[in-house]
Amino acid sequence: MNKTFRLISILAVLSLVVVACGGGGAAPTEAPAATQAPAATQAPAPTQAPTQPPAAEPKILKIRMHSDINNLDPAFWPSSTDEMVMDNIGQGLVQYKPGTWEVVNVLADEIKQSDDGLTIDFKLKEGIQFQKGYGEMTAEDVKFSYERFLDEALNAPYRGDWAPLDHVEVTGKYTGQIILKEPFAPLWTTTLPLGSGMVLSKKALEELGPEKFGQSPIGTGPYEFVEWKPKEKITLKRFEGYWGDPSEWDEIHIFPIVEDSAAAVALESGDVDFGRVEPIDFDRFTTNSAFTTQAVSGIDYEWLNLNYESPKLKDAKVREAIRYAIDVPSIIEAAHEGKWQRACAMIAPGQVGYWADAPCYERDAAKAQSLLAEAGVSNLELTLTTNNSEPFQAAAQVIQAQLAEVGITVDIETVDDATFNDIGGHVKTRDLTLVSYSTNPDPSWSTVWFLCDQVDQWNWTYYCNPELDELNAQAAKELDPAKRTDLYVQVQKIWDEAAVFDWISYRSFFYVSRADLVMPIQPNGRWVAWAAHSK
Amino acid sequence: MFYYVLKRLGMTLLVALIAMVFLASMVHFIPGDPVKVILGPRASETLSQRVREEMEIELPIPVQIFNFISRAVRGNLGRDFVSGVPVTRLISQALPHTLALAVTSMALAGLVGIPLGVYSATRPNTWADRLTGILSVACITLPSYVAGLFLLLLFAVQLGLMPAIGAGEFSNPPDYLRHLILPSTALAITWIGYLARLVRASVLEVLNANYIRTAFAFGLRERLIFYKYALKNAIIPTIAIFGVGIGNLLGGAIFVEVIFSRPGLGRLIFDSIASRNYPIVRGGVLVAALLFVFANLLADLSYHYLDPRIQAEEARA
Repeated sequence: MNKTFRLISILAVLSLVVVACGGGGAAPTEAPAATQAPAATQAPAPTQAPTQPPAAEPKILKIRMHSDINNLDPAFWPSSTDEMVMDNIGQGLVQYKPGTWEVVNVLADEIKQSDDGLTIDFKLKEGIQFQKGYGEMTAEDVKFSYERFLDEALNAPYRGDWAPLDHVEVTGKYTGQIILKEPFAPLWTTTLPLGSGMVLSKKALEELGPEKFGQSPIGTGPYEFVEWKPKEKITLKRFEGYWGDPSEWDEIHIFPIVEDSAAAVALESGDVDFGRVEPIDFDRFTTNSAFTTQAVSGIDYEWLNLNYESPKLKDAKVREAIRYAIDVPSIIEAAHEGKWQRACAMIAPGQVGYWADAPCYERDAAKAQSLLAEAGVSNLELTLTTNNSEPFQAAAQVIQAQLAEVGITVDIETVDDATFNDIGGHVKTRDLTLVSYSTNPDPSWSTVWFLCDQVDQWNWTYYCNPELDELNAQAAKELDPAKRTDLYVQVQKIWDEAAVFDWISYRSFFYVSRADLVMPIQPNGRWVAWAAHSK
Repeated sequence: MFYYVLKRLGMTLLVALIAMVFLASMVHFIPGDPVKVILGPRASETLSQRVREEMEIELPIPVQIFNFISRAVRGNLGRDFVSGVPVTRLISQALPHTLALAVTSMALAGLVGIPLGVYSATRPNTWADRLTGILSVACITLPSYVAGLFLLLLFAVQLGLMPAIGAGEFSNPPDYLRHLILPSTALAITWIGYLARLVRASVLEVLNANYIRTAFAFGLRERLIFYKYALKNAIIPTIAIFGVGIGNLLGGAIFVEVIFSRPGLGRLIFDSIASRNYPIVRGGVLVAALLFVFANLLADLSYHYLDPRIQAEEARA
């Protein structure tokens, strides 16, 4: 018996030893300070952070993020989570004003595009310091940050953001010119104001290399990177040498909480101050005065994809019949608690390219049956492929039931995300697919996947129309927003006639914060932590 | 004893080798392209192809298996496809949290489940026995993720006594223990019920043995008989399942890690499967397999240590 208790005691002690001694390995922490960082010239004295009471606890903003980061280098970041974290650390010449689509100067004191759209002259604000002693930001850093995207050896997935870039001409310590090979409208909507436009420290990137930089980035933003504990926490602290108005929080702690119900519990328990919740949890927060809620209708789009190359869907009348057989509001109700905004075309309201008069098709089962009869089709059997998320599965079941009512039998195939997105020959055999794409605030980011060169890649409609491709190419070079909108409306009309997309919704985002916290949310549903403040 | 340990260590190595071969080949049968996850949709096909070559995922399977094993034996499990961080570092960060969770849960299950089983066995067919029986079965049928959510809602949300997320800091043991209480309880609940039933059955069997009757005849105190003489023999089969239990807890820990947003090996592997991050899947499962084998080895050794009959048999042999 003594031995037994000894064994149990050993187990208990062992657990304590593990607790006390487990080092957890060396987490990627702060980047080594730059050696002999050049002294800043004419740098303004850093603005002092708000005076804190002595010995007071640091003021920490705790945020729930829906997944973990992977790589904070803007040339590589694989998801929006990396972008939202890096947004606190890095800055570009211009960026979107928090909570709006208004582009404002940030690192640029002046920035102007030539009439032909090929040259952008910029003048930097002077004395802006990089974090961790990497010295003053100059035009050389701008040149390095943008031209690195063109480096074949870098293998940057976001190379397309700078595809029209010829080179960056440095004309002075703080001045330069961005020279383009052709006009490029997304430059001002997605390239310069977002990640690809961030000015990074040339010295830091050369010292650390892209790999280390991706784990411990250096920027000019209000917060500097402290530590990333994978699957647990990302810690940022206020950059005391920041050139602008200091943010309110001494530190920002970002917790990757993948489970939505756990996130709701963490908000209720006060373990996090702000986070995204699912529509099903949202209502109980809206009625609780301890919290503030925000619902943002974004620009990410969701649709039922019809494979133009499928022999069963080759006849346009069959595709039209499916369009009339489904009831979009009931799909939104089942999948998203009725809380997502219905989509009638690809480009969301408020964007260049929005098709205001796009037809919103209402369910008409009789018309669907008559179209099927005209096509001479009966006992049609189709596959509907969807990923294994609950909303998609619910949507698939509603579609299955609605199509059954007009005589179409649907076999639902549910797969995990990686299998779902695995491009290859087998995608071509899918008849119907429920798809959702996230996008950026420029229509080119939405339309690019459905051109001829994307067939067998991401264009799962398998619809290829050279005329449409040409219109899309023209739109990317058109700098006049009104003319651009006309071009994108034409593109969307062609798709509507082809009946290969049955638009369902634009994704909405549901955020909950402590009642006394104001967190700006961009119109595409991404939060801006550095701009958060108390009421 | 020495040869026994040597033989078991040899078996451990063999299991590790088989696991490595299996893992290195398994990933090729799972659909899904890791390059698409890493590069995202914006990457061109040329770029995707180049990255595929760099990742060696297009090499012949036997070459990949050889590369994986030869690197693994040198302690190199490769790098995370997405972040480029060495897999050994990711595992070394995650593993202590999972070990702490599994070991604490098992200790908790033992400390509660064993006395509960003895208590129940010493009062057979009474209301107390029936009540502990109902409680034990209820515990067995309660999945850890349901228990975890209940515990969170009660102790973190309603009472505000415990943290809802995270693992705390290793450098601050009281804080770490505080973060460990709810997850380890959620994970231990099933095992408390299981151990209670197992110990009850074993103790009931032992109580019919002659030496126990003799002990009663000598007028020894009941408490001494039950907890010293009866439990000493009754506990041996229970110890054997500790090894299996640790492995089981490593698997079950994933739900708890997700619900409590704790870092850990289970969650690391789960997320990596979803993103087809093969090096982490291979490295993580290899470490989990080794832990499982090692835990079983420890259980067998403790069995050997606790049961003098085995030692006597070995001596005779």
